[in-house]
Amino acid sequence: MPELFRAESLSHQFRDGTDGLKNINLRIDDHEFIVIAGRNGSGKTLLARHLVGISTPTAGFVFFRGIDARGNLKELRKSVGFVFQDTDSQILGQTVAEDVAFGPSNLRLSPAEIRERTREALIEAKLEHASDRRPESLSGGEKRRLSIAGVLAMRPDCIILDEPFANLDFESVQDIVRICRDLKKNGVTLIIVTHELEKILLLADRLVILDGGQLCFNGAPSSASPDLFALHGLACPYEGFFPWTFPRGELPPREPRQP
Amino acid sequence: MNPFAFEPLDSPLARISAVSKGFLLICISTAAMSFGLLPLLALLVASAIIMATLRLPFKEMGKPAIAIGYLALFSAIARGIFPGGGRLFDVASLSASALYGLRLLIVFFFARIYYVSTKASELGDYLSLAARKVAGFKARSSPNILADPGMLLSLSLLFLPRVFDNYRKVRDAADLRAYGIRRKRMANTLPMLQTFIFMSIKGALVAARAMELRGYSEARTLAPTRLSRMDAAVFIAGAILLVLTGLAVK
Repeated sequence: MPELFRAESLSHQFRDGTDGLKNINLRIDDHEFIVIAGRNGSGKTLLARHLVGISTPTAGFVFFRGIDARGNLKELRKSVGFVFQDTDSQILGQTVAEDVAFGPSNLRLSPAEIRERTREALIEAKLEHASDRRPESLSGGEKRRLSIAGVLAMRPDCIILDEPFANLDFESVQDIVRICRDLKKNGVTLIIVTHELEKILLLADRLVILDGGQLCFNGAPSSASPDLFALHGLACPYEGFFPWTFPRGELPPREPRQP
Repeated sequence: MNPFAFEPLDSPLARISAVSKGFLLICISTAAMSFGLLPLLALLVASAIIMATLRLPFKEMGKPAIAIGYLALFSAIARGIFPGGGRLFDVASLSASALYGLRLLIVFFFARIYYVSTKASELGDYLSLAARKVAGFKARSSPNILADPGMLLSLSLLFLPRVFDNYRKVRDAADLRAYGIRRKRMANTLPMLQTFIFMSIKGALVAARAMELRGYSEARTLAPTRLSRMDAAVFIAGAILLVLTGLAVK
């Protein structure tokens, strides 16, 4: 498959001297479904920001379709969509439909084409009923779907979702997983940044684990051992290993409360 | 905070261009400031019928209506106090102040109808289109938002409620940590203010990044509503009102 992104010796050092990323070498191909995981502060969001060119490496390079990403921003913006974890701050329209239309209008499409893309994206995100509502009135799950719809309307080749399951209820998580499954079916490259592996790893082609800014694992999800997850502060998503499953049947007996 | 269509109403008014409605609003305001009592009452009834048809909640108009009441009261005091002849107040001046209050109320009602039936983005598109015509459009490699007043309007309307929302969050967080118990000194407020400013700047930066990532361009497609026969009728109605104003209808 043709190469989409390539990080070469990518490093990022913060102003206080701490390392955000250390010598990352990673290749992401077209039509892949990749999950980037790691504990809090491991550098996974920072890596995603480098991929879309909104952070500048201290050393190394990020290539997008073989060209330095920061020198190819116009093409990058057209081809890669990014959904932030903080959905509230990325809403840019007075109504749901206007927010979704923001991206396509920047692509200088005709008003009819913008309307068509907006309609399709709203249907895909199950938000067609809310097209005239103001975004602030949506629930957390709807806002997340709105931010995804805003990216979908631009019809990118690749979508990066930063912590897409954060603060969502089960139903909303299912909606996001369904959207991801549909996008995968349509051949869109997906990069999911999350530590909630149990929700999405089943769909992924590849798992990348970061810890302390270093690439610790890069391979098929099935080849990651339960110990590896534990070592890097992640809950092992495999059946029988996921720590928060609840036994069916009677509740475990509780110790009587001491007076 | 945002007076424009929070939930755009599915009414014929929403389909009329913002420009023609704006023209009519200016004409109505001009007429309301010069008409006599009877035509004013006709305008008031018309505004009430339109608002009832649009199912606009009258409750929300309480606060601005109180403000108009204060203005009318101030007008009454200014007109009637110490009229001379040793009198304290001239009761006869109250009718002029009541008429003044009525004029303001009519302008307020029609302005409200305008705002709820108009999308800010449509006005913004007209503004940006005008800016392109006046300044001459030239696409730059790095977008300059100052050349896109429509986007500026849209962002301002979007950010004002968010700024207040941020303030409420910071204030709630402080109150939950016993802020209200302490004496309110400047030194106690400073950390709160700092957090508030930080949150606002952070929100603005994320929005700016979101705009960049969604390829914001000042050359974006603008789609102002096309003028229809309905707009022509609205323009004619506005012109008739202006003529009547010129004829000093009492």
